[in-house]
Amino acid sequence: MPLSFAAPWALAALAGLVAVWWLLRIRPPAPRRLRFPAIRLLFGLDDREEPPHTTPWWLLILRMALFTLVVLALAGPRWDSEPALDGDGVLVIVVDDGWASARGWESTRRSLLQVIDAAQVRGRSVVLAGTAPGTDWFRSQAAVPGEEAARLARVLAPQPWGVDRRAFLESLVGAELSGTGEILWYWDGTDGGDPEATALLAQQLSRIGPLSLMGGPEHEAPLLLLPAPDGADGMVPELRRTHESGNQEAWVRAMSLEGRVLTRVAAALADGERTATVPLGLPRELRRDVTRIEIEGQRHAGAVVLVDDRWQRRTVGLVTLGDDYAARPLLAPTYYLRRALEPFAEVRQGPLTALLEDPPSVIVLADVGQLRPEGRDALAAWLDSGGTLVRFAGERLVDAESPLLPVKLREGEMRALGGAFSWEQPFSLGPFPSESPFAGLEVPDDILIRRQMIAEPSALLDDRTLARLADGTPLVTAAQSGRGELVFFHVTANTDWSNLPLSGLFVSMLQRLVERAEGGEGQLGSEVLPPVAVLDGFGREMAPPPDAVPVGAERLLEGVPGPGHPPGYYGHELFRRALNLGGSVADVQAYSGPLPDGVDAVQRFGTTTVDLSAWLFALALALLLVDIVAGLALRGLIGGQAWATALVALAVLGVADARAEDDVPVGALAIQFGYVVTGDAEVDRTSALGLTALGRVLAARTSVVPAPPQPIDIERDPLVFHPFVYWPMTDLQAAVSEAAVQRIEAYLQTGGLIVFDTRDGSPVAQLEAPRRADPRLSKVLGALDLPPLVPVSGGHVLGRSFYLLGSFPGRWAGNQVWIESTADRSRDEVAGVVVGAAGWAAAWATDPAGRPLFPVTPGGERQRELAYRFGVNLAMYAMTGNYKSDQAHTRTILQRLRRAAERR
Amino acid sequence: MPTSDPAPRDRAERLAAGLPSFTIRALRVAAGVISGVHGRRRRGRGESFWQFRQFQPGDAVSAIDWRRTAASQDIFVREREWEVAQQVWLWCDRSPSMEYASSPELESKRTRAALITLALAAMLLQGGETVGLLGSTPRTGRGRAMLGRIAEHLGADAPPGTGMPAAIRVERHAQTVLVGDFLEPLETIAARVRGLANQEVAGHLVQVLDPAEELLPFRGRIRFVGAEEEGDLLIGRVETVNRRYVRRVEEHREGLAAIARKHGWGFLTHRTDRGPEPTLLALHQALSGAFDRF
Repeated sequence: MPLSFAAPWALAALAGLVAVWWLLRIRPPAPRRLRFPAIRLLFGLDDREEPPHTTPWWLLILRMALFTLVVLALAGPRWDSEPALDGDGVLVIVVDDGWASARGWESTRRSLLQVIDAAQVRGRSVVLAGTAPGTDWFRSQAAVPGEEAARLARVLAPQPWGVDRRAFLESLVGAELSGTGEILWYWDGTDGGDPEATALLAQQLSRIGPLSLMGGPEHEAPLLLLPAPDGADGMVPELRRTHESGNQEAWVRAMSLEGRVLTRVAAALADGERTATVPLGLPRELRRDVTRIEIEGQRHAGAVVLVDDRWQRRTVGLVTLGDDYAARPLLAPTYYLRRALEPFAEVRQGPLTALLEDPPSVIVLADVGQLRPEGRDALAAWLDSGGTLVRFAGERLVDAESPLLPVKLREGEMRALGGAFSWEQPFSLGPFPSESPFAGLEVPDDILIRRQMIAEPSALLDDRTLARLADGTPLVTAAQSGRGELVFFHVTANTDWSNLPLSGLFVSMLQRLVERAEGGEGQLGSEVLPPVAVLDGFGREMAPPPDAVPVGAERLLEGVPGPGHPPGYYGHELFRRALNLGGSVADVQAYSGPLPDGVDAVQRFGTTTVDLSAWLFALALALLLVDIVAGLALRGLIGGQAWATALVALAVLGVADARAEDDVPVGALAIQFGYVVTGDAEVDRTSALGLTALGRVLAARTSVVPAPPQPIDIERDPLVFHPFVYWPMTDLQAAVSEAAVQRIEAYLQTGGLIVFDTRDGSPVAQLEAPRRADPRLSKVLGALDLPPLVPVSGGHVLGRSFYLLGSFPGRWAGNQVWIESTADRSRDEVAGVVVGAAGWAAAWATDPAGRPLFPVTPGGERQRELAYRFGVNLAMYAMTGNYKSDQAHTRTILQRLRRAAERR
Repeated sequence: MPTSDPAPRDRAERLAAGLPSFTIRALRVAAGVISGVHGRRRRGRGESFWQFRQFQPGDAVSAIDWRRTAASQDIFVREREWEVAQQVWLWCDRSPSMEYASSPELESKRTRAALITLALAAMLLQGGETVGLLGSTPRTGRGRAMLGRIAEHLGADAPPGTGMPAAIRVERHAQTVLVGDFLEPLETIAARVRGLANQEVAGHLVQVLDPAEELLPFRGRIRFVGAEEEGDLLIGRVETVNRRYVRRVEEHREGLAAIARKHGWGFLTHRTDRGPEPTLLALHQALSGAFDRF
């Protein structure tokens, strides 16, 4: 049944329909109320008994429908396309869990779990069997309880190889499947490369019980990516699909080891085509970086082609020389080598032992004579395991006895050509032998070799020579050593002996050598290669699982992954060969053969399950609105205006939650000083005007541009949005409430600043701590948890945060200003409370024309200016804290730096 | 300093702000009516009826008109030649039941009643009569100032519990014009009218009704609620009682007319969906006729 309920018991509430019906019958809608002055004349007119008013039938139906909808919605109806499982007996589920199923695996698993869930509810046991080889339960189709089957289904994952239906069929013949109810076959839609076995399996299954074929969504048919055939350009993979109908497009991308996308190429399969080649068109330099080519969005093992070392960028280790060339870096052989190698290889430079810790593909030794024994042994071992060692001649090698050379050198012999003591002319290069790796490189005329090391003639010498001079003497020789190769340049890597290192030929030669490193097919012998990294069914690279076993080289060449041999890399760090799935399953096609009688067409699962309750709720809501309108209409309350009102109300409902924001004041985004409203209108006006005037001064002189000041009701308004709050004290000052105290403390703790001003130039404040002495202040400050107040010392930041000030006059001069003692380091030594008596706001306040409103005492515009400067400092202090006090240590810091410099 | 409750003052100010325009409207209505009765004024009662006479011993010094005196040698006293202006007491119902308009397009009964009262006052004042607002102004007065005062009183809320004016002491032979809906029981109204008529006061009743109160044009199930705590009444189908209601309204009206007739008073009806001018014209003529009798 496609329609199901999440909470079927909720449907029982439908019984309430009777109650709703009854209630609606006895309780008709309320009458319209009408104010009517002439009511006296109405009394006694309606002499009849009030007739039994019935709810209109359409309203009755509307409300019953509303109730029904709500109940249905609460029951959580869902519309899904899972098969009905109303039979009894064992439920047999056969799952194609090969690579071709990976694409739609999520929906397969969901469907599986739903089916198993349904079976579990009915107490049926389940057989869950996969057709791909390699899973434990492949050959033991034992019925398990639904719970166990669900667990199995959860861990079930597609295998990175194909299904083997023939083997599955064979295992089925012997299996006991008595009492089978239904058989569900989650089919990948392909013939698995064996159409005959597929048909047989379908027949066999339908013989056991009623068979349903379950197929995923059609658009999830997989695409395959096949590596290019051997010998062809590896960068032209082939795209293949299992069917031929329809146009299909795909993007193929090449990625580097680090997961960088090197290129993306669109590939299209036209109607009737099964395959398409996808030339990636990468430049040669980038090709070496490609480790993985995949079809985007496919996510299965068949859509991934791993590229092995044949195409990879090699690592070249460059052994650093001693200090000989430290003063002349441009003459060092390593300099030339580095410049030549870097375009196409990853060059690592370091001492030999360090390089061998993480062995590169190629190690270059330039003018290294004597190798230390341990280094030599390690080098020899690395060479035997497949490394390529490239050596260059040099002065040091002349006398050294070095075993790691392809040919025997004539001891101590060095041939100088064209020198002062030689009558021979410098030679250029001869053509490269055809079997040489350098074959095909063009030899420029201007390369001159002035010196070379001479090889001892031997029978092997000719074979081992890769390049010669024009006179036939070897210039480059090579020899196999173990699985590795040993290459020797009979000249130096710098310009001492020849100008070869200056030429482009040098780069090309090195490139050929490096590319040749870790050799070709010839090296694939009979040895067994262990897995390095493998792909899972979804085409993800992962560490080899324990059951992945080393693969024989011949199997690797054959290229058929299977259980124990998942696709992936085999070999070791230096020598990796890729085993790809694509080639082995290339002939898998969509199954088009006959299906046994009684088996319907494929049921599609995985189409979305629609939760209907939201729609039902929406419908119920709409009906509710209709009901409200109808109710209004019944009471005669609907006129043109009422409709407009209703529309507005709906619109307001629509935007209501958009407006339900926290009530952050508008000014919160601007810098806005606050002042505490005292209740004395004159004082409040002075505060407002004073802070406004201070704002003008700040805007003119600093980069602080404050918004108009904000009056604050200390009991109600939030403080947090203000850099500082000016709090004038009046005799009206009442004690603050506990809630307000908490807010003030929180404000101070989070870096707020409150300026208390007794405004009277009170001498009391000069004598004693104002917190206790002043009755007005003590009402407020006494309640706050504050450190003791201390007089502002001369060097305090308050006197230096913008202007340098020695005193802080306001309307009155000469008063002490107190601040919270900042021994408490919790706020970075920034005081949160400033207490004074100077009447600052009065000194700042001006009328709109900028004329000061109050005289300052003892007087003078200088004092007013100082008052403004104090205000500026205050604002700066509130906003930057002790930023300026850092500069107090500038001198010390500079001195320290100087001392440190002198020591060096 | 916070005031205890700013609402009443605010409301008064709002009303006062509306007053001039309302007064102007009343004046315009009055002017329209007067121009309609042009030529019918048989006796002038204008301000030209002042005259000066020479000061005589015994005259109050305060009676001397110094401006006139300064213009000549003699001392002149300002004296009114005719002091026979009629006193007219007006009353306008301001009870909650008047605050009713059956549709938004109509004025409330109170507004219309106030308009009629004020326009009448304007006409009478223009005619030189002295006019007072019963229960509001302590005595009658004349001139534009009085019109302003009346307008102000009409705008203000009535003292609670006012229906018909109780027996207020009024000068004999004064005229009264009572404007209201007169929906109270007939006995109450009869008692009040008797109270006034016993003081030898002549008068007119002007019943202002909303058309809905006259015709009851409602349908369906309605719970009627009174305006003055008369209680409420649920009527199942209003359309069925319509005809009987209309008859009852007519009966009530006939009762009112009978009361008026009994004391020699006039009775006029007015509906808020019609213009105030015909009613005013009728009132004016009725009053003029009454003046003529003296």
